[in-house]
Amino acid sequence: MTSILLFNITTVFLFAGMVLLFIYLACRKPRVFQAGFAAAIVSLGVLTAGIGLRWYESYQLLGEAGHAPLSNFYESMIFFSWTILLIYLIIHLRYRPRLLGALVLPLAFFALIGAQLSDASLNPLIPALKSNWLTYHVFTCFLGYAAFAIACCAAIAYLLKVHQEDSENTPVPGKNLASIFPPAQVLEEINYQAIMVGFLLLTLGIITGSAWAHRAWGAYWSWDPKETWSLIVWLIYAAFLHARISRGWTGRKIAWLSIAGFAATLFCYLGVNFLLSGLHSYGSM
Amino acid sequence: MGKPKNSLFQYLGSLRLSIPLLFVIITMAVAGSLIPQNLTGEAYRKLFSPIAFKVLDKLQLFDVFHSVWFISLLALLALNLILCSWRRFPIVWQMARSRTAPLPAKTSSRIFQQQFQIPAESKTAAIARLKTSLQRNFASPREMTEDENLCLFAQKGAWSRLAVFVVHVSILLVLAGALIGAVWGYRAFVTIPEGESVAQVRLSRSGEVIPLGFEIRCDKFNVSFYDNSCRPKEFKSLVSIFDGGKVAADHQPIIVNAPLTYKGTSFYQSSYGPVGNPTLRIIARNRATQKETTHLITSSEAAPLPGSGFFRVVRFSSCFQNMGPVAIIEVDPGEGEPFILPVFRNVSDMDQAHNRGPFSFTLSSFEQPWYTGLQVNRDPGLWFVWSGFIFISAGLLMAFGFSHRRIWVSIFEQDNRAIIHVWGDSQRNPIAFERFFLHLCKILEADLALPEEEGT
Repeated sequence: MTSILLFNITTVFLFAGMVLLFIYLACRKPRVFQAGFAAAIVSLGVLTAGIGLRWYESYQLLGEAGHAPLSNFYESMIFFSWTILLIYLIIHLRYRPRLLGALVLPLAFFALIGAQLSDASLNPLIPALKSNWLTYHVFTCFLGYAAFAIACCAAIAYLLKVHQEDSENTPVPGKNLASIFPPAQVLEEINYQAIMVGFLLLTLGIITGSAWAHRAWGAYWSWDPKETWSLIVWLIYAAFLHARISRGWTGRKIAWLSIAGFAATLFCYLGVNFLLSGLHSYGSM
Repeated sequence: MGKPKNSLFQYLGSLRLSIPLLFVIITMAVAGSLIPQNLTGEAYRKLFSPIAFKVLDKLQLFDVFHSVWFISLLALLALNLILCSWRRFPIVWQMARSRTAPLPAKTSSRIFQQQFQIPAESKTAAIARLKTSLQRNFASPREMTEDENLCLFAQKGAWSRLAVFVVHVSILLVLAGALIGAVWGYRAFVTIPEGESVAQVRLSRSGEVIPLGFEIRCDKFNVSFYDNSCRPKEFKSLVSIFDGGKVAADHQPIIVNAPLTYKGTSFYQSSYGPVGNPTLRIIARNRATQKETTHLITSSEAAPLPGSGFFRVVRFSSCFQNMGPVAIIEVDPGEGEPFILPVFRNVSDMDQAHNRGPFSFTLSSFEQPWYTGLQVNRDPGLWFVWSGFIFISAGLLMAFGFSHRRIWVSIFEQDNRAIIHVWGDSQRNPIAFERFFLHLCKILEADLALPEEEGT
């Protein structure tokens, strides 16, 4: 049994869960949803075991140079997939939004596929990464990214829901795709709640990164592209949180802001790694 | 005409300024991340047309984060935060401290309501029961009168209303720390060859040379690699510090992620490089007699071989692919053509494969003098920044993890019935609060319906 095998099994389960949740969109049979959701739970379980196993393997292969599986692009994508599933599970337990899953699972699935397309080799850490801050920093950042991903999915679902409410004059219950989305208000609330959680985690991620940069390079902030983009993401969500309490920013506008925030998050994670150069070069493929 | 002044003051401390301001800062930051920053004029001229270069340079877009524009925007944001807190604090402080609150307007959309009725004669007993029930299931209630009716008020998490100020003041603390660091601190860089000392460093931004106030010596630099690979394992400098004739630090290590701090100045391992050519210890073994000779040689010299001929080092690398240090030597055996040979340290018998000439060669060791490159920094604003960071985290946890929840229960008589009206509101998370509210109403109703003897 290797971690790679477990990640492959996870991919299969995630794919199955995704297909089932798509089918649920069409047929709306609770059984289908339950099966799809169960596949997502199994995926999270197998993925957790896989990450644990990779951690163990790193000690087996590298001896005392073993480390938590959070050190390169491959491991970060797998962890991203794990955090998306985890946050989705938490949100589901609180709000039971049945169709959010059909938007969330593809994200977790493609993150895992992205990981599998990149270099999976286990290497000992270079000096800059040898720090306890590595774990805290990556852990908080990716949980934050995942919360923003869920918020974005809720915002998209919200827009679909409102669009459907607007466009339908004679509603045909059961025929319309968006009609089975939870009420718009719940989706808006999920969007907001997930962003609050994400904002706190991103703040902790930036702070731990900053403390680490101070320790490693002697500068807690140096306007490196990764730092700049994490601040951009932070400012967008800060604007989101403030916009919600001021008038005029409700409904669709706020949903679009959440989507824009996640687009910036993705650029901060992927765009900066592949398009801009900087201190985070070990995060690239 | 005091009005316009007052409204400007209000605008500067309002969200009408904050949100657009945040978007302007975001735009500047995006520009600063996409346009390469702080390159030389030459490098920019290659990237941009002369006109674009002129415009971007004039707009200070080649150093966005230190431009007048950007600093002014941050200052405006700080002013916005200060004025906003200044205006809002007394109101929120009052809200967080007060033990009662007026009954909410019935039309307010964020208010949850429920009502039920009991016979009027049991009103006094009902009040006592409601009090106990609220106490047990939510928070200790206070009595108040609204429109001559009795009303109970209970709340939880009122203090979390203050969290927003904790966060905002902490952001100001971080900005203040950054300002203090920029004015009274510095970032500098120094390279020290092994065995040598320096007493001054070069500032990273201006290039100005400033005295340290003490002397730092690099005793030794060492780079180690993971077995046989070129993946660096550790960069380590050993340094000594001399201050006013006494030894303040003796052979102290500086490695990446573990800097050395002396009198508020910190030294970080940042880079390294060779000083001059390495001295190689190469062993030549006569294949026929098995006799070994050891040669200490630098890459500029040629070493004579026993008998006839000589060899010299053409190139040397301390790390070649995954085979460790390698020397490329040229052997001139005296008779026949000279030939080129790689000589390894970690890979033995490599030379056997070549099997040319009367000698086989091994690289036994090498001595490379290094210099170490240290980032030097002094930042008196650091503690402002760290405490700001801690309070921002604590404040956000307080703001998002808790919510100010309030419950009002009013009791009034009507047509021989006592009508009990429950109101509730929550600062955030209305969906979760609604669930709680409905649950609480059920409990209150059930507690009121208990038989007399059990309820008292």
